Amino acid sequence: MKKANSLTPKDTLSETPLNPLSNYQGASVQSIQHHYDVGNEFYQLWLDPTLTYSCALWDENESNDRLETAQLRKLDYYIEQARAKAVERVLEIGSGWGSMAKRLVEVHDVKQVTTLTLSQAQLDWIQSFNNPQIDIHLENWQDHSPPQPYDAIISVAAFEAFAKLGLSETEKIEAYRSFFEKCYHCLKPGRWMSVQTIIYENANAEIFSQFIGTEIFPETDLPHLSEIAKALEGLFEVVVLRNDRQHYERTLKVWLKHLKTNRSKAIEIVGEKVVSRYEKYLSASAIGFYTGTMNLSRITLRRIDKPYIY
Amino acid sequence: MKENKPKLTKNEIQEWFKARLIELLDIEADEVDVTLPFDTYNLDSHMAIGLTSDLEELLGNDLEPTLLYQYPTIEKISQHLATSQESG
Repeated sequence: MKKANSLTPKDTLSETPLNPLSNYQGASVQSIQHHYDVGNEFYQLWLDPTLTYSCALWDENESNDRLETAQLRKLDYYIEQARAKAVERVLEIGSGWGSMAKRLVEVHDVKQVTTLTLSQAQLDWIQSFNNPQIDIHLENWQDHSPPQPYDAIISVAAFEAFAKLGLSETEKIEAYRSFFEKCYHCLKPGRWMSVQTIIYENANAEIFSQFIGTEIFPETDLPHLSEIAKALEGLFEVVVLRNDRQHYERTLKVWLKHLKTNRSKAIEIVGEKVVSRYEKYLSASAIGFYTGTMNLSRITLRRIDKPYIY
Repeated sequence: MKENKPKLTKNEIQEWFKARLIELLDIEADEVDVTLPFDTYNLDSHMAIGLTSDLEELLGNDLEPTLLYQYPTIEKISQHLATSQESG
């Protein structure tokens, strides 16, 4: 892991958060590790071979046994949307098990990927690639200070950890705005960013499953699309927005099927209690996407080079 | 899960469902109407997950977690499950 130097901002926006309310740091290392450090072997039993742990991008007539293809299509989509193909430097916020970073350098000719995670298991996994083009940091995005701005930023399935249950709407928007301010400063003028996040659709925090918010993803609350729109106002323009909840319902059902198929092995690795917890969480999430209490937003953003003061 | 269990008729599945709802929701038998949506009984997603799991046990098959939402009455889901068993 490299030690990063400070970024010298070359734009007009202060790096200091503009509102003192924006002091929520996002989910803690402990809460992220509660979920992701259950064990790589466990996740290998039910994710696709690339270990991509987020909603896939399905073709309409694709069969469910094509999960890996749908995941690679998803990675390519975000790479294309962020205009990251063949650029020098890309920042990824939320590493997962490295499928995006690998795809960027191995298929899309990116020279260098810096990827941030709070999961020790994911850090160890990605370091084992021994790929000098992939620079993995166990670091919160708020602490990241690159020596120079990036050509593109991609963040898939990390945004959900930027606010926790109990924050007010104002506090949530400020937490999200801090994230977009950081991305703004980390990105070259005129460049692009792509984001995937689960959002509340026909629901709010009061009816959000306490089970998921406490037992599965501690310290996690979901954004409303309006909160994201408010938080990025004046910093990024929304160029493309896709809401694909059916894609997540399908992904979750495939994961659940894999987990059930490999139930005995999963119990050997993490015990029956954890397996049951994950079966319940995958089922509850599939129901949420089916009924539309939750949605899955894919957002393409372009940096606004002359931001107005928020 | 794929176990060889005896195939059940639509009526047998309906009777199982009625008994399970009476037990789960602590209601009287005459309060259960097989044509009413599950929403009527304030069945939430946790209960739906539990019921689906019980159904898997009963039938010896893995089921979609959204099944109670796709077939939202006792009558519809029982018909669907009975037919699926026949074709399966």
